Amino acid sequence: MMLSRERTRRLVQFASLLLSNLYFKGWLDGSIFTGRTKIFPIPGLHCYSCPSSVLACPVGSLQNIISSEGFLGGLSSGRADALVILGILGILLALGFLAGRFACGWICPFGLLQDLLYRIPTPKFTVPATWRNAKYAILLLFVIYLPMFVRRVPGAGGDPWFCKVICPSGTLTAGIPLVAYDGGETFQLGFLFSWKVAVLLVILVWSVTSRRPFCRTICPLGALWGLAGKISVFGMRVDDSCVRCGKCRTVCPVDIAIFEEPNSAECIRCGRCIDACPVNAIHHDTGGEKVARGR
Amino acid sequence: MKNLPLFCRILLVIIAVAAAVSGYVWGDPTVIWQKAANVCLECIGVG
Repeated sequence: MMLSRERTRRLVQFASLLLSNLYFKGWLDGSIFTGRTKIFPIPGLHCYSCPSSVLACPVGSLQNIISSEGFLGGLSSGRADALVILGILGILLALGFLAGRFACGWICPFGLLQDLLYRIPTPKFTVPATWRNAKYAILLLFVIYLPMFVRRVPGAGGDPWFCKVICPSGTLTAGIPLVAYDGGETFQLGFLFSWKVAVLLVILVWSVTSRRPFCRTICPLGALWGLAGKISVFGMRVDDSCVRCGKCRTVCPVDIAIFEEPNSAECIRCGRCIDACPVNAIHHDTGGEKVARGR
Repeated sequence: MKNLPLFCRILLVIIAVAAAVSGYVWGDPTVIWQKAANVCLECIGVG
């Protein structure tokens, strides 16, 4: 029996979640995994302080290298700890140049969570298209600029600002479980924790009422992969047989009209539009794009 | 950019893979591990 594309995607999403969280012991004793696999980033947003995580968070890793003491000087002098940023960026960009935001649709654990939350039956709302641009500002400001240039003491290291003030994955998969396990013995909770829980709650509730709002408006990984996806090897193609009926947009988890822009920076390559198209006009393709003119 | 030939797109993938390999070979991935193997206080909202 052949699985439908959507069922296959869901299976891959759950398999990715399982494979990146093999340290089950962490949930029992409040520890985190310390093995060497944590030098490699997961292709998605998943906190490396999650008790069961066996891989590193790419966004957290990038920020920590960028915010390290003397990062810019270290990069120019070939310092080994600064050079490793090439490794993480290389992995992320290789995925992006290969298939754009494929990882958002098929691998990212936080994408899966949003997909599941949207299935809760409530009134649904669209996300204004202009809000999509916010994720590029967040990438530049919170992942690059602030970690690189804001230092409490001149010459010292900085902070991973995206993790610190925004990342809901860190709060959900690491903050709340570790703080609950700790029971207030070690961790001193204050405004920052309350702020992060509030951000998480807003995003969770928003995910119930809108499709993948975090991916579309906030995620810095989505911003990076989206830009790379515009020139990726594997993209989408819409044939001239398209009748512009809009069924593709109705099922699209990121609310794009693929017949207007087949390789949109928002497309997560889930393929739901391919299955929904009544005239089979939408396909996966390699290189270039063909925009439908309609009939 | 949208009409970038396929070989250029493949070249970009190859360059990115080369960057990843060189970053891990000549860089020091221990710096990633050191952060990832300890509880990230900023990530959990107490740092």
